[in-house]
Amino acid sequence: MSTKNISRRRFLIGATAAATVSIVPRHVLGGPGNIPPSEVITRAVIGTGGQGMGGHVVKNEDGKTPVMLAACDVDKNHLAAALKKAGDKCEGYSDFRRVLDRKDIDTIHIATPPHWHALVSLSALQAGKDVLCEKPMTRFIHEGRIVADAVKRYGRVFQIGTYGRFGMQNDREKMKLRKLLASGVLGNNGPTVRLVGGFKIKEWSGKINQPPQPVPPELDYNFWLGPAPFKPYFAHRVHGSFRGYWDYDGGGLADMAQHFLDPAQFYLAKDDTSPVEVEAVAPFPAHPDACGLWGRVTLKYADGTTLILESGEWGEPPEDLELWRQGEHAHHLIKWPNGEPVLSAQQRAELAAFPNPDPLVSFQNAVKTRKQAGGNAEAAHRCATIIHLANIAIRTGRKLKYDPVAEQFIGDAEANRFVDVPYRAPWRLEV
Amino acid sequence: MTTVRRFVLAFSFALAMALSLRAADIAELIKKLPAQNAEERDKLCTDLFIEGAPGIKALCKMLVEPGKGDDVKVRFALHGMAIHASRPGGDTDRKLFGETVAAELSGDAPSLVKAFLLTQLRLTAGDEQVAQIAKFLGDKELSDHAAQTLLTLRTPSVAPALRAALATVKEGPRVTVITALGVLRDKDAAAEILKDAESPDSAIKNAALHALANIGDASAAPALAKAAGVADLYDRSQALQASLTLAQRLVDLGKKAEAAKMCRSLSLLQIGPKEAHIQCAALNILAMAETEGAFDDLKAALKHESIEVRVTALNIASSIPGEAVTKRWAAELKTADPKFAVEILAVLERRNDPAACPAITESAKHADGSVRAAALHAAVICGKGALPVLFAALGQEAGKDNADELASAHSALARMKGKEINTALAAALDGASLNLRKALIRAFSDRGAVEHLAVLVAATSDADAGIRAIAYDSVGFLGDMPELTPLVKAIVKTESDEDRGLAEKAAAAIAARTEHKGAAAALIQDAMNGASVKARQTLLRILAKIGGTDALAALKPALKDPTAEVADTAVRELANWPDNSALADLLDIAKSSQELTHHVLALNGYIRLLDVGAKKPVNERLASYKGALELCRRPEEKKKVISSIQTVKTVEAAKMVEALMSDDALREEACNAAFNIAKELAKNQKDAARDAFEKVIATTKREDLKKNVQTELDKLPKK
Repeated sequence: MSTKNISRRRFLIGATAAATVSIVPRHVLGGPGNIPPSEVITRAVIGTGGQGMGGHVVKNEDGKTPVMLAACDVDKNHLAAALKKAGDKCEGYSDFRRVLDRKDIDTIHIATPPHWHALVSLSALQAGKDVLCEKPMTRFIHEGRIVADAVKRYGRVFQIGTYGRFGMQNDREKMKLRKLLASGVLGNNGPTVRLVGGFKIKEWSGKINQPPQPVPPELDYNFWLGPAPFKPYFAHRVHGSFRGYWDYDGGGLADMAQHFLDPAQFYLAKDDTSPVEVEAVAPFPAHPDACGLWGRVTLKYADGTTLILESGEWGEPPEDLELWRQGEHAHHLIKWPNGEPVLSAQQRAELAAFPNPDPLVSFQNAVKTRKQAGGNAEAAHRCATIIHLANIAIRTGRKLKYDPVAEQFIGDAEANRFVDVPYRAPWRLEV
Repeated sequence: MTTVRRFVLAFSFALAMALSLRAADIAELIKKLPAQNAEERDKLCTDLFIEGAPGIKALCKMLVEPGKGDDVKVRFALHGMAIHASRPGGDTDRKLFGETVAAELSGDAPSLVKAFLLTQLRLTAGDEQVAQIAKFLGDKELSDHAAQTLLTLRTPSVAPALRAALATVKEGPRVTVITALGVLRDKDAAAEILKDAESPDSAIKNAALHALANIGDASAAPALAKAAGVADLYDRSQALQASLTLAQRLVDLGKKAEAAKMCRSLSLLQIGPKEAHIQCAALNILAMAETEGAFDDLKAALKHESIEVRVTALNIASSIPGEAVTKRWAAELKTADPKFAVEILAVLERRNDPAACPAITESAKHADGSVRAAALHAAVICGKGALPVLFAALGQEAGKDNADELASAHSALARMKGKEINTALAAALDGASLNLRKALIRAFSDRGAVEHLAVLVAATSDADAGIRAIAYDSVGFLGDMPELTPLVKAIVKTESDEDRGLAEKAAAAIAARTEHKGAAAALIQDAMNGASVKARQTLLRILAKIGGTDALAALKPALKDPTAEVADTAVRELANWPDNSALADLLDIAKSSQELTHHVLALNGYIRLLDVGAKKPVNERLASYKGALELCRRPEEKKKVISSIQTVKTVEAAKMVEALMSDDALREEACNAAFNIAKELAKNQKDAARDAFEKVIATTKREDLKKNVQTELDKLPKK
């Protein structure tokens, strides 16, 4: 048996695994700083472009138990670069489905463009893998619900590729706010949180009226498109700049906002719900293919908590912007529209009796302990939903009401056509 | 030429002219797109629709294939019209747009243009356009676009149209149509799709198996079972997933017995721990199908070798409702080995059903420590009835062997709901052992039992130091003004440094959050009279936690206290003051104190408070910094002022720090600050920024800073 067939979960089963480990050559187990195979969480990386190479493809160190067992990309050049970085013991694939057949791989790192995130996540979960998926989690709302449900059904671990909430749990003030909002003692008197700038919406805008170009020989463009509608190839459509096209992502808002919104959603104690109202200020219409500019999006939760996203890249800045700014940072600017809450003794008592949350569990620990990861699928889906709601408001130019339980817009059947977008066959999203 | 022919010709000419004019008008109109505000948007949309069907047709005719011209504005217009027409209440526009664009599909436009039109129809088409769209289901280039549009519409005619297409389409389009019918869960298509379940074309076969599963057609089960028996791992995985989907759909359709049978066979199908996920999924669906009937399956799963299966079983077992189910799990405790008993107790706790309480409290006396710990943790659901076992556990001396038990009991006591628990805890204090008393007092704090604060205050005078420590901590956590009085008294009265420290911590916590700042300050001011030196120092520190003008007035006399330690503490606390009410006094000390320590403390406090509170106008802030700089006797304080100045991003601020660059002790801080200010100036005041950058490069000795400044300088246009 090769060493790559021994993984952490197999070891968990006890005697059989112990016997398996006993036949591993001594040099594999030994050496200072080496992690025994039983503790190694093996991975495959699907999508080895910029993001995949940035943090997911790792080098297998000589003489040590390999971590990186497979890399997969539909671009031969990307794949070659990944294999070169990972070194031997990492095999290359062009079809992610074949990677999922490998029983020695514990986790799947997904760094494809977002139009593949849900499909690869779902397939990986169904194949019994734990998933670390780059942000944004999904391209449309229904995908997130399917993935979150699949995580539960298959008893898997899911972590989104943004980690701001892990740092945020060390911020005492924010954690006090989280407990305050989670406890419900404030009633419908939530704060307003403003996030200004950093969405890179100009940088991640699409190009319009591009002439088709020949598909480069190294790229399987049809597979790259996958569930997205067929559109003629031009270079800006793929590889990094895909962010600027609705069929694959959602512009700078989708690309960047999960970094900012995920910790905000965490300290606002909104991991299990979504806004009930959304409105955007943006040019109309948005281009049908290419993502573009917007000024402000306002999203309100049922308890009055409000998120205001200011792009800072289009339209007039609000008059009160300077008042919001605190030094260099313009994110997580918190205001209480009805004044800072002052709690009665009874409210403080209720708050004190409200349980503190458990510390967030890292992906690695969640894989080992089978606990839910800090950036779990439900939380990540709710965060991606904020982004999708914002983009739908930008695209429709309408003030929309949203039902966070049914996960549908209220009284706007056509807006709901952005909630669940059919895939191009043979791809399907079912659980 | 007859009169009629002449009339027809004249009419045709007039129509052609009108259309041409209309096209010209529209071309002019769409130049304004996209609209930059709501008013423009509403006007443009209204104007575009005024032209009616001819206007929409004219726009459609302007579309060109990608790469064959510039139709950007046309696409903006048609997409904007589609979005606008899809608004609630926009039915007239939606119908007009849908009909007109669907009619254009029959023209000779290139496929990629038609693909664009099909995409716009996703937002606007109705049932009446289904036939026009479905014509493209057999078209290799447009089949997917048509299917995606139909799947978006989901109107009554969609499924029949797809079924009709199934009779004729082949190859790729056949996969598309089968997949679409599967997504729609169209039962009427099942028989026809079943014919493809063993197609030699693997793409068609896979599409058929998944479609049948998603439709919930039980006749697909044998084909799926056969497919799952293949050696190819991917094909096997696909077949297993399709089987799970089928089982789920059977549950959805009320065919629960068939679903349960499939799930049990799926569980059996698994070949090892690497397919535990299949068993997890099968268990979930089985529980939906049979609820209580899945008891034995869950029991087996809770003993499974795979932690994944055990966790799944725990979650499911916890969620199936009913007292009878609770009692069945509780009954299992009698014969369960310790490992299984722990799992069952976790299930019972999560079920939160009091019917489990007799078994839980009994298990709290189990011979095995892990079972006792699990039972004590689960006792949270039992309320008052479980207090005796919790008290018994908490009365134990802490040791290595019972740490889990004690932690579980503490946790249960803290989480138990209801004020009557607080009352019971208070009643239990009398005659309780020392260990139990400590636990009960801690529980008051954990539970937020504000109605029993008097008990906690009384415990701060307990003979046992351990009890006093917990009591002080709890009073500080829960208390307010009524509790501040006894704490202040204790600070004045006690001779124990340790107790004074505990009382200070509690009083400081209350002082920092109380709304009654004035009363708190007055209370402490009174207590200062005649108090010992240590007590007065303690009280001064508490005043600094209160902040504001009342507390400041109470502190100020101590600045001139004849006892040096008291005066020193007063200056230190003034320097730590939480708000800018202390600015004037700090400035005074900074200016006049002959003692360097006090000068430095006061100056540091002053500099810090300049940036606290509401932002002042920029000019006032700079004036304050200038004043502070003049007071500084050492470079250390000047550097702090520089750090504050750089938060002001104006030319004046840049000039202020530039003036300090010539001072060797301040050069690098000043250069760095000038760089930071200039970076912001570079956005709008490029000349000023350039000047500042150049001065920094000329002055700094730091190569890294020079490099960074040069990078920024290079971004600016040359003079």
